[in-house]
Amino acid sequence: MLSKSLTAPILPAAPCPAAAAGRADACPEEEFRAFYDRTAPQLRAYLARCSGNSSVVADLIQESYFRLLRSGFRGQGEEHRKNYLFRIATNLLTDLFRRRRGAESTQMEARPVMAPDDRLNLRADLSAALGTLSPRDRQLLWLAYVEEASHRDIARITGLRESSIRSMIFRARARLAGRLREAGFRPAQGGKA
Amino acid sequence: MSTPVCRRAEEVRRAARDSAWTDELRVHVAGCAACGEEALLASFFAQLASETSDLPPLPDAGSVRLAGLLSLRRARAVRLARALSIATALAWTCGGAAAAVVALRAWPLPGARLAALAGAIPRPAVAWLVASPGSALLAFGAGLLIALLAVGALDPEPAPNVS
Repeated sequence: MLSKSLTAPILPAAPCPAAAAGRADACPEEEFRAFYDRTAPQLRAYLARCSGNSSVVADLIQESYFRLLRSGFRGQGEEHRKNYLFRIATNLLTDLFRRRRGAESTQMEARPVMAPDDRLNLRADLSAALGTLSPRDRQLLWLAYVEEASHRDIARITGLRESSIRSMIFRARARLAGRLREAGFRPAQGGKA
Repeated sequence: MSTPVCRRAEEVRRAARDSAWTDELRVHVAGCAACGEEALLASFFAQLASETSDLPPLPDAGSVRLAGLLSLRRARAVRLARALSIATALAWTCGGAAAAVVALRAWPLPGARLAALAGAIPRPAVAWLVASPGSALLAFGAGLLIALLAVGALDPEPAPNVS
């Protein structure tokens, strides 16, 4: 499902000669390092929180950048390239979930809703709250709230229709908000005024 | 599906993310269900995103790039090997076709010799084969087709799939 048809809308004509060569060695090391330094921490957080399994994150990061290099994709700017990278990572996550579903029926997905008396003060609890959602909901909400991606970008990254993103995010939001309220999570409204 | 969203949702999201609440915004959030939910989620994701201590260390950028380059070159070598096998098969086909044309133009002489040879072998099929240029060409074409299919089947690795 997430193969060629979904990569099509995000792949414009390559704007630079290096991209036309379409190869990893067309990407200078300094340029790659700079791009990696800016995007890898965000990608790591996305993969870790959406997969719910830190042990696979390093491999997924490596594979995502490798596929980006192999594609020779440069895009129309860094943001475009980053979206493409997240798109690759999302496809890898989808494959991971598909494999898991067959093998061990995803520990995170199978996790029951937290008991009402749980308190979300710890990082593990925060992750657990996110883990009660479906993988797709996690991806949508993470992209919307952490990456602050537009609906169009989220549609490109996840391969969903742009017109359905709004309602899907709305429903995912409602589900997560319900779980957070059940668990007693309250937004901090102190801060600096 | 209608999605009730307050016009101040973006403002609330920024305030929750940056912990920059004003008294007026707090009052608004207290009385607006949509903004209450927005604040809850923005605050939750801000906390989750800021927590990195449980995340694994990042692989080194150099090693990621190097692994990518090595794998890419391997994929290129596979593609090159495949192109070479196709070119070899084509060369054999062209050579065979040229030989067939030559044989057809000078058929009386080799035909008589082949007929004599076939007569020495007690196999009716072989005799049929050399009886006419058409049947010889047909057998030759079938042989080439089998050779081409064999080259395709022996291709060691499919082209890399970049999704």
